[in-house]
Amino acid sequence: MDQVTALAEAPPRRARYLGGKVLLGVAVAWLALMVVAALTAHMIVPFDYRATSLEARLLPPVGLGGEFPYLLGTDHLGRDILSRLLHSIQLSMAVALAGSLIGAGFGITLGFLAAHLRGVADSVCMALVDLQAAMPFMVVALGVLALFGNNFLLFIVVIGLHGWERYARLTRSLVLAEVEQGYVTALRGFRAPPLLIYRRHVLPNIAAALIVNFTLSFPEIILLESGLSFLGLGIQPPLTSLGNMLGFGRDYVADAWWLPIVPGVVIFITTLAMSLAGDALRDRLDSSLNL
Amino acid sequence: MDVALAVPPVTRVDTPPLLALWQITVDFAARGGGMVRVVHGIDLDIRPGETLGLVGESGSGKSVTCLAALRLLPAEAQIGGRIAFDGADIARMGAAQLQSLRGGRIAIVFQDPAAALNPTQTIGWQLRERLVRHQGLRGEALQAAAIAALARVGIADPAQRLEDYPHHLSGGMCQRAMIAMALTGKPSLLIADEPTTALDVTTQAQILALLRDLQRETGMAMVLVSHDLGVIAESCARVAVMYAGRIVEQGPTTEIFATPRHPYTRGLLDSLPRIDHVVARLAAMPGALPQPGRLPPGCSFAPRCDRARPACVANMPRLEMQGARALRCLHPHDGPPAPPGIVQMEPGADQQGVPMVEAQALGLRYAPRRLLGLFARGAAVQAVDGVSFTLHRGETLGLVGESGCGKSTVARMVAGLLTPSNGALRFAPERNAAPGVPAPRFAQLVFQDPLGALDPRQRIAAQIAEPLEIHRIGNAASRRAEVLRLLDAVGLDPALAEAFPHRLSGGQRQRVVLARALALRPPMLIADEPFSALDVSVQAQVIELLAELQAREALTLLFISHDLRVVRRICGRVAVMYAGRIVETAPAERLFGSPQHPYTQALLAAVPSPDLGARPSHQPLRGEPPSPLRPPPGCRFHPRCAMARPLCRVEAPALRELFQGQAVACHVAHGDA
Amino acid sequence: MNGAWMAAKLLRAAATLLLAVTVVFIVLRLAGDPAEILFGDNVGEESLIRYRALWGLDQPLGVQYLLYLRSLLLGDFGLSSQSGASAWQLMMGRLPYTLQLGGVSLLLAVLIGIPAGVAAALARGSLTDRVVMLAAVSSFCIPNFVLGVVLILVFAEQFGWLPSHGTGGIWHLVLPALTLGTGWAGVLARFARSAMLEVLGQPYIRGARASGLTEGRVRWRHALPNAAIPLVTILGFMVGGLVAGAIVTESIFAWPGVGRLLVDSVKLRDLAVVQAIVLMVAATMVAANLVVDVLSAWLNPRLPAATGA
Repeated sequence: MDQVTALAEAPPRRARYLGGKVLLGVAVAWLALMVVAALTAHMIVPFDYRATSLEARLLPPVGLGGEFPYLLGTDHLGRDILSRLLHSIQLSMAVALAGSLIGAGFGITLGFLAAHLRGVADSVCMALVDLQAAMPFMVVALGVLALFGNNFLLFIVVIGLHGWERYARLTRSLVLAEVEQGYVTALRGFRAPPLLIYRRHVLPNIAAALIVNFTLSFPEIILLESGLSFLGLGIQPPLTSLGNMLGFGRDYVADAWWLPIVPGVVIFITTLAMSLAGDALRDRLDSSLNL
Repeated sequence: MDVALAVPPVTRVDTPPLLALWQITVDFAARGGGMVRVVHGIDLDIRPGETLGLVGESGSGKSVTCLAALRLLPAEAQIGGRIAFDGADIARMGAAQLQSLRGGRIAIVFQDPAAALNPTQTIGWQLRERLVRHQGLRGEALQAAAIAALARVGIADPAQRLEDYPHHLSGGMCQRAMIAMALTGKPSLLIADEPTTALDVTTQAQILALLRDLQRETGMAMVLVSHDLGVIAESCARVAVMYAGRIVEQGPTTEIFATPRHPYTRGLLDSLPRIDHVVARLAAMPGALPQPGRLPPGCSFAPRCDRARPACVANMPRLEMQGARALRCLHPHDGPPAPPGIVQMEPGADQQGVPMVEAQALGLRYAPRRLLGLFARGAAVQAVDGVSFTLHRGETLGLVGESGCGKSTVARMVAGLLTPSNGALRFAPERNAAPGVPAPRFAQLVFQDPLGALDPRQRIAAQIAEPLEIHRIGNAASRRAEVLRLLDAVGLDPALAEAFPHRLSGGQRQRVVLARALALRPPMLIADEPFSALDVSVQAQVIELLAELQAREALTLLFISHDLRVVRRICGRVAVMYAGRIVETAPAERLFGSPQHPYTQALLAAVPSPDLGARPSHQPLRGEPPSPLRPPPGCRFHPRCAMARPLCRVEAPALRELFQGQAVACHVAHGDA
Repeated sequence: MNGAWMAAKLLRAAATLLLAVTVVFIVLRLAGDPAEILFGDNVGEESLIRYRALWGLDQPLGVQYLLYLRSLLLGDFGLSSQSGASAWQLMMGRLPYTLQLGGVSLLLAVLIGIPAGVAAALARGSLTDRVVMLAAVSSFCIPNFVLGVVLILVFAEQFGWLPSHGTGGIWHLVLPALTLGTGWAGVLARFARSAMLEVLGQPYIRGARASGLTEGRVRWRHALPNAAIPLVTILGFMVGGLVAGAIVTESIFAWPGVGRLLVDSVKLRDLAVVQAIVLMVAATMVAANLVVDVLSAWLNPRLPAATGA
């Protein structure tokens, strides 16, 4: 389609948000802050996140009646919330990243295999995808944790399994569409080895869509991790994560509302920022593909 | 900016215009902010009952102008100027008034009829809805009117078709249904926006004939938008030629086509290959249509014009009236164009020599798709059935036919991308002379889709060098040198070597695809509709390039196309396919000069010609090609054939030679020509 | 509707379900000897042997698998290790609560989300559109456990307007339903908007406008039914995932539904109940997918199911 016709057809249908570029800037800045916090948490914390202090229990944040040096107040054991928050961000981000990479790696590999082998192998892969899609992930995760008990490594693997089926389905359909493109037919005509076609040509061309999927699934994984931890089935003490802080904090919601609210707000803003940034990224990648 | 604002609208003395466009401009929001102007001040009049052709290449703004006239562009588009219909200003109309005008006194039909119908409602539902809207019918009268409306546009079995969904119907049927819907408001003006572009040539002829008949019946005026000069010449009394958002020349069709004065009009006519003769060399205009928003200063056509002078680059000339004609040019041509140098196409091959490819009774059957390996979804499709031909060294064999006839499938089998389910392919010994010449170095496939044919994320040089790399030929330096040689061979600037495909125009991309195909120096090329996505001025460049390469490198060429005009220009011998079989094969001069098979004759007659006096008097071929799921028994063409006999219904005719080199699969043809 | 297509869909659903049962069986056996998990060290070797014989655990694995399938078909999901009650009955006792909460939340989400999304699409680029979209993205980014805690803090603790947990009447349903429905409403709003815009950009919409149909007719009779096709899919997915979606919300508000039962059973490692719930959720999801397929075929005559080809 030529450009004029394209312009006369429907305009883009991407969501535009109130606040537009300013909001996007804030979102990106927040994400940068989170990355810095995650990378440096162990160096910049003012207190040991496990250190308790019986004299300084349930202090509110500074500005709400609390006092320095407990910037965000303390919890029921007198532990510094800021220090715990930084450590929680570190752990939650690390778990989400590890989980995302596992899920993406597994799903993308399976998708390529299904698209390449076709036939029976494809049917088997798709049956597995169907199965996973038929099992809401929260339920699967809970089932696995019930069976095998809770340990950190298993927890990461469980988190990692989240969303693999979407990567697999997406990769498979993208690869199948891409190999119908003329350039792949031409490469086949040159007897190019399949691995070369996939690695050098197909993967770079479908990468944009996979990256977009990554930005969509990363916040979900953060939510999954914190949800499980909130239920007391994820990260266990003495380790601390955002969901875990929130889970313990909700018992004090009547007396010390900041205990659940501080980690809750961090989770909310992070997932929101990630979604906004992901949308903007998709916009850019899409338009770079279109023209 | 345009300096022609003071020029009054182009009016003629006789009747007042039905629709008058005055200084229409259209701007779209550009990516990354700002506005891009795609239509730069169009002045047009359409008088009652007349047929105006609006012709131009893709991106010239012709469709946008029509949509703007009915205010059908997205809300982002800014429309300037005045649109007067029968004295009322469309630009100032309220929603209700506009809605009763649309589909009422002005109707429009679009390019892709299947997409222009609501896919989740039946044809009947959509037709009745329009009848209710424009004629206020109800109950039995409504149903009767719906049936009558379909019957009127030549749809057989209309009561049945009312119950069908759009995807049940062929493209031609959908377009007929669209036309039926357009007529419900008894329009006094019908705008047909590329109504036949998505259709096969025999269907196109049917639709154009239908439009002409309806116009004669109702006396409505028509604006026919097309990129095809032949379509315009056959249907329109008056024509306006558009280039880069402006009208460059306008006037009675006979005059414009006989003595085109604007260099662009003349270039368009000269770059169109003809069906009745072969010119020695198509006069191709260099370059391509400028992108909107990146128009050159002065006359938009100046960079491609061989008559351009400094004044042309300085100012955009005005559209000046000269009698019934209007022209936007400072240095127009005078008088009729020089007669083209007509040549005879030689079969161009060593008919006695070693064949490059021998196909014997090739067949390809697609097994039905299955769900879970259990339930067959539909029947098996016999895409190709008993196709035999010989391709001699150095010759160009054209394989022509309408969509779905199996010609691309044959090409893919010859290229080794599909395995025939019946029959055999024999190649010249060099293909199998292992280990030196593996198959990819014997034949390469070049096909349409200039966007998909190149990897969007690889540089041009890397893509051309890739076959060499795969076959471990040379080192980095020698491959680089080879890339530059190939770029030069296909007439591309070596500076483009490091560009990505999106920076290239369609014609340039097709040149890159050719260069890549030639990288392994194969003695044979298989070209599958290589030009069908290109505009006519660009197409001419690439046709000439391919012809030149073929001569220079002594290539053997299997050329697949639906466009008989292009085949005429490039092929020495032609095979015509219909519903999976070859129905006629002959040297090009014979096939085009004296076709024997009734289908070949109909196909040739359906090709619209821009040459005056070639207006169609014949009846277009009726019906449509059969579904490959249920081909008719006997001769597959017999249901559409005017000469069919009882024998044709039961026995499939074999190819038999009538003349030297001309073979026909027909029980009826005797060869008395 | 096409019979072969329907049969294929049913077969596929059955195959998925069988696969799910098989995986659960394998995983259960991987986890160790059920007898030991159930009784631990509390009973003697003799009782373990008796128990194994009773449940066929001394048979070869293949036989065990068939026995397992048979008991599932008979509705026997085993006994809860905590209460000794039938896992099936425990689950069914809680299901009405989950359906009540999920149903109200979903209704809320549909009634708010879809009209908001359609309105945003029709006013694309306007202030309404941008506000709706920001609200939508915020509402599905806010986790249930954060929103639930905030709602409790504000409406129960601060103002004391609404009960913060338990059941008892319509007022007990308000906070949990808001918590659960908000995210779904956001998802639906975004989906509805993009589905509607996709359809509004189709040539047949321009075709309908070009034939002089009123804007109302174009929107409601042409655009909306076509935009409903993808919405049915996402709605079916939500219905299928209702139990899973409600887990966190039920825990926050001490709502006695299946989700809370699942969390409690996981904490107590009550495998019979967990497996019953997992299988029930899988069956619900598969059934929902089936319904979606049938509905889509009904809405979309282009699908092979509808053509009979």
